[in-house]
Amino acid sequence: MPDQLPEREREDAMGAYLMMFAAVAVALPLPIINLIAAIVYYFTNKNKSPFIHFHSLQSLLAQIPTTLMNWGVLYWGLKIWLFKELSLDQDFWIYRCPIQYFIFHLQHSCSNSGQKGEDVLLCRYRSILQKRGLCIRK
Amino acid sequence: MTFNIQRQDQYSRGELLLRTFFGWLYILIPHMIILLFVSIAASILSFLSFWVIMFTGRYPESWFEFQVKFMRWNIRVNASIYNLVDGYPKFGLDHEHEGVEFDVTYPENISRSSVLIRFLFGWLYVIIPHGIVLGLLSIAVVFVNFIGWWAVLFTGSYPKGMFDFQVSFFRWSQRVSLYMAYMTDTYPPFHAEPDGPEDSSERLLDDQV
Repeated sequence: MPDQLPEREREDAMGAYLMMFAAVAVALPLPIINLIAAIVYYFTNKNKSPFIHFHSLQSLLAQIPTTLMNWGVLYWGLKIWLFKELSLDQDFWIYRCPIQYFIFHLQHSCSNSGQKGEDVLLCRYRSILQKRGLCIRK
Repeated sequence: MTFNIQRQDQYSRGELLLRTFFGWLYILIPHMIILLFVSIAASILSFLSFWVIMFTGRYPESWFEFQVKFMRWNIRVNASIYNLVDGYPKFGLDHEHEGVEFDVTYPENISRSSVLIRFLFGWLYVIIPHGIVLGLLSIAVVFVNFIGWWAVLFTGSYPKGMFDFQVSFFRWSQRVSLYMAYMTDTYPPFHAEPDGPEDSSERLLDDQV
């Protein structure tokens, strides 16, 4: 039960999703840093409890498409910035804002659930997590 | 905070010379390369912990332990480079040096308002005043370390006053680091006296007696 999980476990689970802000922390707009941070976090925490393992792995798996999306958005932004004399076209903001919102919302939901001791499952990773015996919810 | 470096009765002159001429090669470079990567992780966690504290009022315990271990590693490398301890500083977060004592009590709650003020104005009321004092002290530490080096070379013993002065300098700067890393709510005092009786070199001497 979520209430029975120690505070420390819940914090560690929550921390897994916060790795998406690693690039902000080092002040480098490189999405790969988030992925590296998630990988490091996973390997340093995977031997802890199954609950932490579950959230660390899910965070890492979620970070892969997120990183690809971020690279795309970064490339798009740089292209406009470098070749159109600092004028960002309207389409950039139209597409970028929902993508960024989706990414933040996804990670925030998982982080919040981890902190509460719940195991919210992103369906895309269900089979991988089930194979590893980490999926509680069927 | 418990911070102490135990003064040895005798120091090895051979190690002193080896460290002086080749310390950069076999201590500083290998440790700094690894510590560089660990420090990136530590700075990421420090930044994230600010936001965690803002939302939860707590510093994540495992992150706190990581930061303490990272600081401990830094301290034992510094202690060795400054010739305050003999022996090679161990690699790794989980190791300790027998002569170097550093520990921080985990605070159950951290004041959000204090952390926010530190984040916004820490440079003004912590970094600048302490930086000025520590900057001046660091110049003195260089001279004291130089004189201490000759004392060890000729006598094999580190003069107690000089040794304590350098330990005090490290203790002071460590307190400032802890405060600015949001790991304590206690403003670092403008002195380098130990926090309590458990933190003094006298206790270590008493233990030996």
